[in-house]
Amino acid sequence: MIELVEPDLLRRLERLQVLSRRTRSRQAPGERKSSHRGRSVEFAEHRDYTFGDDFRHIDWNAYGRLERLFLKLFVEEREQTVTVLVDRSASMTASSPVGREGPPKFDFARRLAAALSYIALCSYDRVAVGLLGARLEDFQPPVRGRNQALALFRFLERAECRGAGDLDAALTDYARRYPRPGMVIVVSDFLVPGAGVTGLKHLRYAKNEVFALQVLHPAELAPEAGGDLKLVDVEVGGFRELTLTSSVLKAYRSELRKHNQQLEDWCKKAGVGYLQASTVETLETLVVGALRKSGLLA
Amino acid sequence: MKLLDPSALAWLSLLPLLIAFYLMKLRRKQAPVSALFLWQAAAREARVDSFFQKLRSNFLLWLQILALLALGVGLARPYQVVPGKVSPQVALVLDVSASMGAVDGRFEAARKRALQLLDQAPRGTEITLAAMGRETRVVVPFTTDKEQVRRALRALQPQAVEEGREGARSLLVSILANRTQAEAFLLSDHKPGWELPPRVSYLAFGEPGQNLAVSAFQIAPGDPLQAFAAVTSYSDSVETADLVLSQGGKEIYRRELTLPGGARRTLVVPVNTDGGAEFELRLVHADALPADNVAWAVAPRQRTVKVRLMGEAPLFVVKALLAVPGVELFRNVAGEYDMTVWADGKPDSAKGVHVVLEPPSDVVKGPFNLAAEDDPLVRDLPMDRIFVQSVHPFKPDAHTRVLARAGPHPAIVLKDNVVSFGFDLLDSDMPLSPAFPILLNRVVDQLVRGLIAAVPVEVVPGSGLTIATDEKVTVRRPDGSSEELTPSGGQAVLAETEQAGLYRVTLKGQQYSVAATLRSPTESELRGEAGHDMLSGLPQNGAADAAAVTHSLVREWWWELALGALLVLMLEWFWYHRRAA
Repeated sequence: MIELVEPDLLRRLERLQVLSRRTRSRQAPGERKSSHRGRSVEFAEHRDYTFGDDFRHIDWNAYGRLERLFLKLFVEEREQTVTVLVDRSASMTASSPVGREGPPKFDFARRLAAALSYIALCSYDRVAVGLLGARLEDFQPPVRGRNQALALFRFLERAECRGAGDLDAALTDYARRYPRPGMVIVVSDFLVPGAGVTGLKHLRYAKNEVFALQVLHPAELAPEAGGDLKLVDVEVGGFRELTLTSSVLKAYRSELRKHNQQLEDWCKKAGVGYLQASTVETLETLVVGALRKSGLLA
Repeated sequence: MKLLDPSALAWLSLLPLLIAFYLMKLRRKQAPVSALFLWQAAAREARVDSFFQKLRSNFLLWLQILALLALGVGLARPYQVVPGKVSPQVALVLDVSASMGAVDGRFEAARKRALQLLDQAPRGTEITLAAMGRETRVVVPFTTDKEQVRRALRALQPQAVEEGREGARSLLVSILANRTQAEAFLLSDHKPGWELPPRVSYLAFGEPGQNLAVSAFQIAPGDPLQAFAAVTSYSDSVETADLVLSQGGKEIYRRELTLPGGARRTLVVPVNTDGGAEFELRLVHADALPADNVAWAVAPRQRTVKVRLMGEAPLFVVKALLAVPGVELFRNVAGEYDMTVWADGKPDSAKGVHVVLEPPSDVVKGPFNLAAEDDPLVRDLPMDRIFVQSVHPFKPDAHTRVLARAGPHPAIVLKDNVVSFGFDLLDSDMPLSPAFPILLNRVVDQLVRGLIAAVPVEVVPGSGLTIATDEKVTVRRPDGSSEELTPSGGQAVLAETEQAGLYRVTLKGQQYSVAATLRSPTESELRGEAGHDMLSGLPQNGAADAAAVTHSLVREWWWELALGALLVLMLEWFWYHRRAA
């Protein structure tokens, strides 16, 4: 079991909230503006009174001036569901043959998910957490209120990283099983052929607001020469024998850069938030700095 | 360029094996990665499931091929024939006899010249070093390790021995016969007495010097004992020196001697053993060779010889025995005796010396004229006028010494310390001749006293000290070093007696002194021989300067190839680790 978020950092996170770019509907009242008109203090517009309307909302001042019945409409504030999906495939434990030391990607991803969940709970959002493997393998249904943070943290603490994953299939599975739109934050290394774009597309089709958080190990970003090695894929078990010369490493770095660029470009095009993080970054720096800049948090 | 051992090129058959290693895949360390597909583009290796891979140009492979080639060719010992001043096989024979210790530094000069020859020899030259003392001893067998020869040369020192030239000759002849390209250098101050073989260069050392020497020193038995000394001048001019006789380290006699050039002076000094049995005679004189200015002697270890006479011996036999100094005579008494004379009968014991006067019954009728053989017991005895009526023809075997013959028949023989007469003394002229008492005297001196004296009083330096014993003996040399000797066959032998001085032998709790003194006219004579100019290090065999003679030398290249292989392997190691880092 790991300590997901330090108590000091939790206190600082309470001042943040997850930003949504769009209004929500069909949800319970909350602190998010929705397209629905309802009860709140913020006036929206007038409309003609029709039979059955709540006469308590009739604008009597307008009636006095115009002698017509108008109904006063207010912006109804509704809560948002923030779902944090964490990649639990075996690749989240591996890094690169030789390179800088750093925390495992999965630990970092769990801590990040915990921090984002806590921010959302503090903003009176409904928060759900899911674990992605070959499909959506484990899911903590949405909860509300800060007092539910502990349950979410325990869920994340218990999570284990194992087995082969299929990011596209898992995201598609989520989109199919939980069609209600919301904000979906996907925390993964996205180191799969196609960078998980197909799965992200399915989330977008389901009208979710999506944010892709790519977590990479420093040794993956800048591996060093390690001699003659047999590289084994931790998920599928395939292997390739390589002599890690400087030219081979250069080619690898180029491939990785191309792969990440492909993901980032698609995210920009599809209106999906994207941020790449290294596991050597501190959680505070990432959350308070990079994620605020990227517009996910405010 | 040719190869001394072409079969070693078989090692080059490892080249395909080396290349095969590069064709085979490496056993690599496993490393888990999260995204193998990213490495695909970077992959340059061949298919993972094949045992072999495509051979690519690899700097390490080239280095290893180069190292293997160098080692393989080096093992084949490539060589080329080059002209040189030193033969490919060189024998250095350095004279270490006493005269090389002369004050003019001839030994150092000879050693320096030998080192020069060593330095001139190209790498790969086989060199042997021998020291010519009383025996010629191979110090270093043929080797290409010049440093070993250099160390051995530096360790050699002149010894107090007379040089034995025949040994050097035999060694040189043997070397030159077995090695057709070998060349030998004899570095000495004395021209060899034999003709030098064709490939032997004699390099002479030393300057002519004036010298006085103690040429004889002995303590003769008698009452009182007498110190007999002789001093010889090996000088061309009149020399004066003090002669000092010491006993037990204390001076007991001193005399000034003046000797004309080439003269010999003897003197006899009565001494006793009150001050000990060890005597030293020193000639106080600054001359060319200090080693022969001192001599040591030990008083004879003599005691009364117990002789038993068995049977009715004629009177002349009794008188002859009583005339031998130090003899105590017993007649027909049982017990242990040093010698028994059998007038009748045969020896009853193997102990001691026996003289059997009664001849066996079967005889050959004569008369015969008696003739002495060349044996130390009878040498120069006046036997030519002795006739015998009849003689028993002894049949001598390999262990029998024939002392005299009557006609063709052995008449007096010695076997196993038994002297047997083959004729009746009374039927001969023997009783009338002085030969009989002299013979008995020599039997007592040489056989009986030789048995009693287990430890000799004197030894010739370099000849080995033999002690008759069945027990362990400890010998302390003049320089203080000790050695314990284990006897074999009733004798204990100390082989290394090259030091002059007094050797102390401890046997059965008793200590005996043995004197070793250099007495050699050859070593003491330093004035040079006719036609022998004694210049330092010049060849004296009439040939051209040995250093100027050009030989066809074998120049081997294996050393350079081995060094090259080592350097290539070091570079390969460096390159490998640099690439892996």
